[in-house]
Amino acid sequence: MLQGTKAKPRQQLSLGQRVLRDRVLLFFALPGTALIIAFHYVPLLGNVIAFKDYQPFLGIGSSDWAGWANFSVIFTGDPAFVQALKNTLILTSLQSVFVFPAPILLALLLNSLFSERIKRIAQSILYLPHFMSWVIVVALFQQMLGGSGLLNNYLRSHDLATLDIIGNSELFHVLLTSQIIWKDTGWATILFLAALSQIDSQLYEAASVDGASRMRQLWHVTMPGLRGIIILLFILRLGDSLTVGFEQIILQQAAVGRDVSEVLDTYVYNNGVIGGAWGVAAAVGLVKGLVGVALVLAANKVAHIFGEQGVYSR
Amino acid sequence: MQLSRRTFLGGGLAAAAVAVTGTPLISGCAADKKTQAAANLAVKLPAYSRFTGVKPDLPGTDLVLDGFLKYPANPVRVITDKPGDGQPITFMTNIPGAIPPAADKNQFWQALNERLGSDLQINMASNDEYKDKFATRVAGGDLPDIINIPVDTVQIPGLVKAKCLDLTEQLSGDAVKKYPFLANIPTQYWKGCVFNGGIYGVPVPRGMSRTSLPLYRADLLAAKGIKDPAPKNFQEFLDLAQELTAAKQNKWAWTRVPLSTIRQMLEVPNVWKEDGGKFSSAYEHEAQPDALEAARKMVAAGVINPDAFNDKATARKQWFNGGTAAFDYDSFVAWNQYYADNTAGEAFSVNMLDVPGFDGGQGAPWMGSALNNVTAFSKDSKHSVETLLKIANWMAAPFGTEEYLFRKYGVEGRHYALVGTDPVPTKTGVVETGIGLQYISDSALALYWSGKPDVPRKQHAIQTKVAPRLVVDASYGLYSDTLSKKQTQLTKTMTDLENQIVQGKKPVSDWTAAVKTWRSSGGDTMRTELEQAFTDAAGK
Amino acid sequence: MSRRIVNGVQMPSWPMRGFKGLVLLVFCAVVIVPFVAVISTSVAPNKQINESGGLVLLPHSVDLGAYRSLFAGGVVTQALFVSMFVTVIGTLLSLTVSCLLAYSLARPGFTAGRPILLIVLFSMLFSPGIIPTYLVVKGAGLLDSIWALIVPTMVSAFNVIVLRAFFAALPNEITESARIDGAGELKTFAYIVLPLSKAVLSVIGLFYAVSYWNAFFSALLYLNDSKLWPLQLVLRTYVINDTQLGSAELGTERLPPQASIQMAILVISIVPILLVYPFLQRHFAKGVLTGAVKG
Repeated sequence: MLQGTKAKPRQQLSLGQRVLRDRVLLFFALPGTALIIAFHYVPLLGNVIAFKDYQPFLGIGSSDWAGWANFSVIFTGDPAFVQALKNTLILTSLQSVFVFPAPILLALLLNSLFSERIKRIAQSILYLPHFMSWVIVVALFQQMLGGSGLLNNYLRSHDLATLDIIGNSELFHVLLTSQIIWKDTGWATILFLAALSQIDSQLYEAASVDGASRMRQLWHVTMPGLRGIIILLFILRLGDSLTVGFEQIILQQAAVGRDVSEVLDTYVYNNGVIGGAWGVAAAVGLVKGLVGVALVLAANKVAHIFGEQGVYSR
Repeated sequence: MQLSRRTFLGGGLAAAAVAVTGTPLISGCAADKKTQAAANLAVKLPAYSRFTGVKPDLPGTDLVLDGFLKYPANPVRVITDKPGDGQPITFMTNIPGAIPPAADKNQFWQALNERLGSDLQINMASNDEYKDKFATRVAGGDLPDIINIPVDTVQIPGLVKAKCLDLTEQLSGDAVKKYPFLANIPTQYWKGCVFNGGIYGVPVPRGMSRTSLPLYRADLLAAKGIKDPAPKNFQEFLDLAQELTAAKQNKWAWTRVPLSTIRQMLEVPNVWKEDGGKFSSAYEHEAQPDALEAARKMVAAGVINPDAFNDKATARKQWFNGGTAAFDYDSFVAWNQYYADNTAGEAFSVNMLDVPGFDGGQGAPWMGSALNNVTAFSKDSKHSVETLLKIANWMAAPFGTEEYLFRKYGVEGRHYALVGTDPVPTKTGVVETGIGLQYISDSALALYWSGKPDVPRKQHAIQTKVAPRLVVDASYGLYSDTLSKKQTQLTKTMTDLENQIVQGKKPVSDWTAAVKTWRSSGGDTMRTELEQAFTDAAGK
Repeated sequence: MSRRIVNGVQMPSWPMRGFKGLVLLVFCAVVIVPFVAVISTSVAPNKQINESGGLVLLPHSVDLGAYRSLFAGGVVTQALFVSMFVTVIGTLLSLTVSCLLAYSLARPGFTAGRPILLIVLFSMLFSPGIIPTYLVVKGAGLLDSIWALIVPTMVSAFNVIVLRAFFAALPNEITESARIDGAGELKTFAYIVLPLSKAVLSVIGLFYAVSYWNAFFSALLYLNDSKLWPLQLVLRTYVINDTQLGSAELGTERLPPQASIQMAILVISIVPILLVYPFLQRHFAKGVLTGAVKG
């Protein structure tokens, strides 16, 4: 509906008249918006505890004000915090480069298969790990690749050198990223497959008739068809870029130590939430959100410069 | 947002509260604290009156638990009145196992309600999520009649002052005699229930049963010709481990690094040590670098399972049960649990090692944490205090009584079968009885294992052996605001470093710098507060 | 040499097909092998599990003890029904509300379109704490009601934004011609847009369904009576992560070891999805839009 149209010049309608004209649409939008406001924005008011020394038995109102004290973790330059920030940025970069494109590539691969049967079977297998909780995924990785796991037991009993994978601090970031790829790639292809199915197949036929090779078709038909959704998802992902995982990391922190494994969310947990410092968690959440907003707005702007829709148009 | 439980971090419970009004104080009024500490010590703890209705086969002492070789025949029924008042009573707790069928489908629960005279409505949560559930209900202002408050809950004094009933009048001194089984709980457990100058809860005692020592697979060692192992120093301890290691066959002696045992060999204190009014932390002890070095040696010698640092309790249990490992560091409770999970057959046999001195002589083992939780009653409860206390009293009926048999095992026939005089639970029994009653109140654990009298014998023997040397956490019974807020997280940081050092990823020399950081991040403040609380208490 | 043309597209060369096949095979193997291990462990005899350290690739014999344990007492069965109710009703409601919202946002010139879109978008970036959310749910009177599992999470901002993108990507001519034919918004939505959006509806429907099916935390907080607990929450209580407590204090016989139970739990949780997914798969087929413009 937005493809290739420019807004026609309209008469100047007053706000009231426009509301009247759009009343059906407003009606459509009402339930969803109301739910989001009620169950998302109203509780957000509770984030005022970021500025308080909150104790659950006192309630939000009666807890003492703490000013910016809860935010001090960010400003004191605590080396552990800086390290956590570093790890977070490293992991988010790794995820952007490896985890984000993986389902796209896999979706393209699946899409290019000729046998519908194989395509469906592969899909049904590949999305399974998504349903495993991190507890199980970590346990599986440890039992397969750990020091006393299947792989190393086999190597050891055959007199081969064992591989230090699970407890290896240097490999930890790679391990984390691989785990995410293993767990979620198959599932994430679903959305891209749906997008691919929306591309008019006549475009492919036309391109083929024009003599385009498969490679060129990929570039000129498929990619443009996917571009919108890829950019949309990437911008949304940017908004979340300071969140790189929590349960997955906490489960594996003990072996590799905090230096390589601490990220913002685990730092807040280890240094705040455990001691009942709800305010600190709220404070960091606020800061993460603000950073996310800034990134999303900026990325959307950049998308507009390149002529794309982004998440919302100008 | 998740909060986890670490139950192994010593006491730190309140007796000298910092706040009268219940507002959270980071800096309290010094005069206030003094009055409070004095007030707390003015509280007369419930008088201990030992229940003599059941005679143990292996009598215990104040520290050693009573042992029973078999369940007494014809268990005596000790409570004749129904404690309930006819109205439903609500209770909130964590459940350590699977969720049992709801009351309307659970015959045990129905029988329980019948015997109590009131319907017990229990709101359960799994262990991992209990803290979040707890905080939400506190914040939401709708607490149940009976509340399970974990020992490491932050700001307990403020919490109980604001939301819970003061039980001093009903329990102090001889008043407790009205509830004979609460009186049967030794005095030291009550210390952990005193806040704001009053008794605010009923203890769920653990103490000795949580004491941890090296457990070993007696059958595996016997197969190698080692009977009654008793290493006399660290070197023999290490040698013993090496005997049980066969890396090629994927067997390693230990499920985890026994750093605590090594520390006990070197007489490192149990979290906090008090000496002439001065407190020092275990972290500051001069033998720590030696302990770390020795642990490192063990790791380097290859006697520890390579995945030990993944810190998964289930994996450890599997290794020990499956024979991949021969040693584990755990408590008497875990000892029983191993028998329960045992899949190795009849030969499976577990025993415990005493702790030798590092260079000979005797080590100084640590006493387990005193309480599992404090059970408090909500201020908004519509029931009388007496009713709630009678319920708690009912739950504390000791081993050997008919009430104990019922509440732990259920109804004969459906939930257990009697083999001789020993109850053997049925599958239905296990499923239906796990409703969390042990967190309302409980008697001290009795050493007993259905059908295996040598288990309590062994347990009793080792307890008797170590009891005189047990070292207690000196901070138990003293309240420090900073400790309540920061000890868990600071300990976690230190543990993280220990793991790295012991694996050889960081040098032992990093330890001293870490201790300095620990001190400046809160350790020194904790010390000062504890010393203050101590002198206030002593000064009274 | 020109390659065969099938369906209007060139067939790839053999090396290319070989490479693709290999990649696919590797991916599938890496996923299937652990999964086989999961199923095997759930039926393996306890002894074998303990000896092999917790994971079994091929069981010596089949022991359904873990499944029997899980279903004993009827707790899991009850929870299954609760979860099915919540998932079916929840997904239907969610899809309805989300599609209406997304459609309205996709219409150009919608007065409130921009502000509402921003409201939806920014709700993704900030997450409210569990305590304030609890207070709101309490204030809405949803505590101890099964609707507490549906209403608060009925709308997912992410899903709405994706739906909106797909709706907005439909060719303009289609809706224009509908408008010219005199159709109002509702008709356009129901008869034109929805039928063309089967792919994204299947996907988002699946996303919602899975999210309802997997939810456990809200049940923990909002439902005090365990009769109303959904499957995942009940199953979680069988998995002890960290603690060393237990009915061991009773000295009683315990459930089968954690490993087989954990794996059985996983198998039980996945089976419904496995059953439903193939029905949705066909909607991802190509060529939904073919001829829609011309026709």
